[in-house]
Amino acid sequence: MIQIKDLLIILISSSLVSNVVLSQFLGLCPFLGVSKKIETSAGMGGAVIFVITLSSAVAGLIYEHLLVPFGMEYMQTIVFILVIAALVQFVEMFLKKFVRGLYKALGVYLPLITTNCAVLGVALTNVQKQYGVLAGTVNGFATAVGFTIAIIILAGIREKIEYNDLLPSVKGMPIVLLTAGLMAIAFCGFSGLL
Amino acid sequence: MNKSLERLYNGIVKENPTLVLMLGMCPTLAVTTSAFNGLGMGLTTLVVLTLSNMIISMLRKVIPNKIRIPAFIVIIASFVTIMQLILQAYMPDLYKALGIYIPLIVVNCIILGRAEAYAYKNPVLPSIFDGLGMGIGFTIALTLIGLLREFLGACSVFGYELGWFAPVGIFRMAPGAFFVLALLTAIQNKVKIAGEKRGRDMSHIQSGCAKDCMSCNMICKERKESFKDETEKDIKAAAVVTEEKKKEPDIIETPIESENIETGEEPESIETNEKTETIGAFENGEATETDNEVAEADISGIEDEKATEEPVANEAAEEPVANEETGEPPVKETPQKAGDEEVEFEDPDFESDGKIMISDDDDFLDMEGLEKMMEDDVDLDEKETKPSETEKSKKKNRKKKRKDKKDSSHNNTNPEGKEGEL
Repeated sequence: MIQIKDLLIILISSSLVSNVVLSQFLGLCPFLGVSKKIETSAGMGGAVIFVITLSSAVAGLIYEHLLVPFGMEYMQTIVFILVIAALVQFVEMFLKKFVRGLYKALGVYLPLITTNCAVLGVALTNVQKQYGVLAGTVNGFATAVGFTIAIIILAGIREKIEYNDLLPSVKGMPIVLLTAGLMAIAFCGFSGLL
Repeated sequence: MNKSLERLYNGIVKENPTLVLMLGMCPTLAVTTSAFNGLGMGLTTLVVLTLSNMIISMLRKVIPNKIRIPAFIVIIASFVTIMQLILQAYMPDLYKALGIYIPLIVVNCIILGRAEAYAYKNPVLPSIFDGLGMGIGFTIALTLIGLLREFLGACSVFGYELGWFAPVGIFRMAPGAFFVLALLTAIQNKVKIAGEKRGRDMSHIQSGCAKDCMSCNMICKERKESFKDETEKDIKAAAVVTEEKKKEPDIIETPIESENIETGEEPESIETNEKTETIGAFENGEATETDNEVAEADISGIEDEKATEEPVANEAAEEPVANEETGEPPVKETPQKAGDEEVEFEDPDFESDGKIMISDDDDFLDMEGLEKMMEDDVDLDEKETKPSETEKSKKKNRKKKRKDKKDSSHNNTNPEGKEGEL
């Protein structure tokens, strides 16, 4: 049986210790692309939390009740990614019709994260580490929270870097990557937490 | 045969996916902890890329345009699963080292991007060589980065200990990957700036995944050429429609296309609506929208600062289909627009000139454009060139810009454009 203690450990380890972006390198594309402003980064983070939590729950359910009973675990990659893509489409349509406010805040970013490495990565990690559905969902939520923390911090730093004097060849991607590297070093410090 | 060799050269040197296009960064950083891992990952991706290019090219006449992206994904995922099982059986060490990054090849920008940009539109043999070229380029890049990281981080080459100096351990860990990549992109930038000074076209450098893997709009020359004819037709069609509209100014209930092309008065709600529609619809692989996106983007000649607004306007102009799909008839949008706060992303300061302004920047999901739509008009260019501006002067500049835009639209040939706009 999963205890609350285990869930808390998953929560902290997935969000801070092995941060999805700074340790596992999943979700780099939107991380580097969307982090120019704090507001957009917050929006992106919100959308990521929404999508990854939902999709890890659904993927976990499908794996446990559909793939395992029929012995088709090898189909997990194909099934997961199709399910995730379809889910995000439906979610977007649903939000657009019924929860306009949320759609307004997140809607632009939903397609961006559909085939993001992070979403598929979380689903596969849940299978690899043999979490159940509940632990898998918590893992997904924690991963997304870690992503949000990282991207908002990077956006804050990037807003300040805008006004710095840099070599022309260092402007743009290189300085962002250097910043991300320094952040990764900082996050390494969390490894003693657990 | 020549075309195939050219494809090889393109993939390895001219448009190397990692070193030039900056695609597929996730596996690049994660897997290059040692040269052997980099080589293994590169070869796996090479096999998947070549085979999937081949199959997609064989099936390109059979796969309907609207569901091409899910079809690609199924094909690519099947090959990845096969490779995963082979690796698990015959190379367990590599399998353990690569871990979850093998199944993540499915969402690798390179494979999906090449499938959409090349394999879907070209015969089998060049597609195979395109896949081979890109795969070899990717493998070379990964191996080089892996070598560098392994050499600096563990002072060994392919697992063979050298012991020339005390290793700098950080390069083997996560931050080291970021640093190596920063160095790589700095070199790219330097080459790009030097090349641009001499007037060469360097737009393909770092043109890849800054957005997301799914909407990887690869700036490929082939794509540009194949759409040139279509774009010319579009310009002619639009010009014809504009002339017709001039002759009949009293007709209100014109089809949405001519209305939007001519006046550009189209409310922001439609545009942004369309944009989100097309983003969602792009997921389903609707080629019409992507075609027009690229078509618009590729019309060279007129450039616009607020470039993203124009492609969106034209997107919506030529895509009444998308509107219908959501069940909202286009005519309804106009009464909604007037002061309706529920309409999403409404920016009352947004104006378009009514001319067909196409930008060189054919990013489908331009985050800067989206940000502009969602927040107030902070001109990022202004930020870079005048960093010492205060808030007040920023606002002044913004207002000035809007005034200039208004003035230029006054000089518009279509007086009705102003009437329609509020």
